[in-house]
Amino acid sequence: MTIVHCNRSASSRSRRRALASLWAAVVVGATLALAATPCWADDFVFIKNAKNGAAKLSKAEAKNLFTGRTKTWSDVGVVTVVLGPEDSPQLGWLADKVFQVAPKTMLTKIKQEVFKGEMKKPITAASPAEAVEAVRNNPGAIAVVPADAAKSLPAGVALLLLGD
Amino acid sequence: MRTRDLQRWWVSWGRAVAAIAAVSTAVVGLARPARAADVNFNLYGDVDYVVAHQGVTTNSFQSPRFEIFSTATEGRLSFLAETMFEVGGDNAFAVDMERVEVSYLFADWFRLHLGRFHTAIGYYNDAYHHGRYFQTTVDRPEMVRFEDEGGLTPAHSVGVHADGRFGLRRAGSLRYDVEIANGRGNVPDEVTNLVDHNNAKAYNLRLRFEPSFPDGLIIGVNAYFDTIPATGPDPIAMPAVTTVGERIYGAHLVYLENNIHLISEFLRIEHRSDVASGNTHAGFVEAGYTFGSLTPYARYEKVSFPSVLDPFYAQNKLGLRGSFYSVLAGLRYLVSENVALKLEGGQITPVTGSKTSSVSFQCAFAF
Repeated sequence: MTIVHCNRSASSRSRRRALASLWAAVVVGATLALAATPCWADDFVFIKNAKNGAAKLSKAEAKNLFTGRTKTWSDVGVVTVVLGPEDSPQLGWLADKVFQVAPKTMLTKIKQEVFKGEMKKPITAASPAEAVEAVRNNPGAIAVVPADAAKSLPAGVALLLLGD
Repeated sequence: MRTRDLQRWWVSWGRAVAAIAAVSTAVVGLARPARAADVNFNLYGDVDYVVAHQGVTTNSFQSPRFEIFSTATEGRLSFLAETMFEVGGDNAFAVDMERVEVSYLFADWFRLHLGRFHTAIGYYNDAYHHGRYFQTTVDRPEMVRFEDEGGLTPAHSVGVHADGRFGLRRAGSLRYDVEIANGRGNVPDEVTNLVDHNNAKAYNLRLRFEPSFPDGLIIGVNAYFDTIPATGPDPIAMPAVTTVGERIYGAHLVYLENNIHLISEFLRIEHRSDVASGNTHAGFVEAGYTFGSLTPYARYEKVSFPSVLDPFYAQNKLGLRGSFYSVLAGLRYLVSENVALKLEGGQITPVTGSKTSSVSFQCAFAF
């Protein structure tokens, strides 16, 4: 009985170790994956012109780009913001995830920065396809589009990964 | 000799043809349409209803201002103009150019503006321009009102403005604004758009620390120096000039993120002249919180003038009223990204004289 007990104990310990290792691997993997992936989980992504060398940006950097605090990219010049209509899901996502305010409040803030002369007037894109086209035609452009629309981006447009 | 003459003739003729070709190319180049610039027009304005009580009660519907805001950009070059149709003391509209700026963006750390701009003093003056839609409250704080409304500061300047932002690694960023301008005119509501009466320039510096945490916090200080050629209210009838040395020191703390609205600002204005010298202190705290489309807010403001005013401030509308404090509270409803409704009540209490109470309703638009 004792020997059997010892064997059972040893096997359950090794099982626990294996589970712990697996759990740790999942946690580390998920953390690494979340740290530098487009926000597929949220179903919206940032896109940029392919000439723009920027690969990744944080939420704070995104906010700075969309409010004129950051005015230039390092390699493609002046930042141009492309926005969807007020009631579009992509604008709602930007307001919620990046600005953490209502879309109306975010648009008022952006409009005020234009009025102050801190940023150029954003391009309004009526649809994700228009946003993709605006980004393709403007080296400094940045836009938010649904992840589905970004699955088949044309040449000249690329994803801009969002970190924390 | 003949051959040489012929060679010279050919050389001269060749040079002439080359010159004509070069000039033609240049002319054709100039005549060709320039790269299309993005030109945009926006419309701002407001309509109000105000009930005021100071001994007697008055009430008025108001259509005080309408504005055309135009911008144009071409690469790193940008243009901005704010044309205001504003009602004056005679109850009639008049046209006023509030801002005309030409800017060139060299980098995030260096941008140059030329023209007429809002002076970088404190926070409110160049954060909120003439469109009332963006302001949380119905009116600007008394201390930072425009020159013709009795504000204490030179709200507009004509000259050169440079600004930029430097990253401070994880600490945040540092924003600077430097200005060299014509400075004040002979009387408080004069902006020196065309002629600097005394040639002496005004110098202004503002520094802001924007920490990375909490994101959105702004801590700023500024210093402004000018020499004012002050005259009486009618420079023709009273042409004698009194030189007033002006120094404005200020500090501000602002947080406008996460639905919180907090603006606090303090100014110390020193005036030195042979006739009278003194220091004016002014400050306000404005706070609010946004719940969806609704923002309840309140503001407290205090202005203290010296007991004897210098010839320049003696003509200022607030200077004539004397030291005071004011409180107001209101509600702002953001109907859409283009229209805001505001309902506000307030009271101004002067150190001497009777109180003024008011209730205002404002519909401000921005299209």
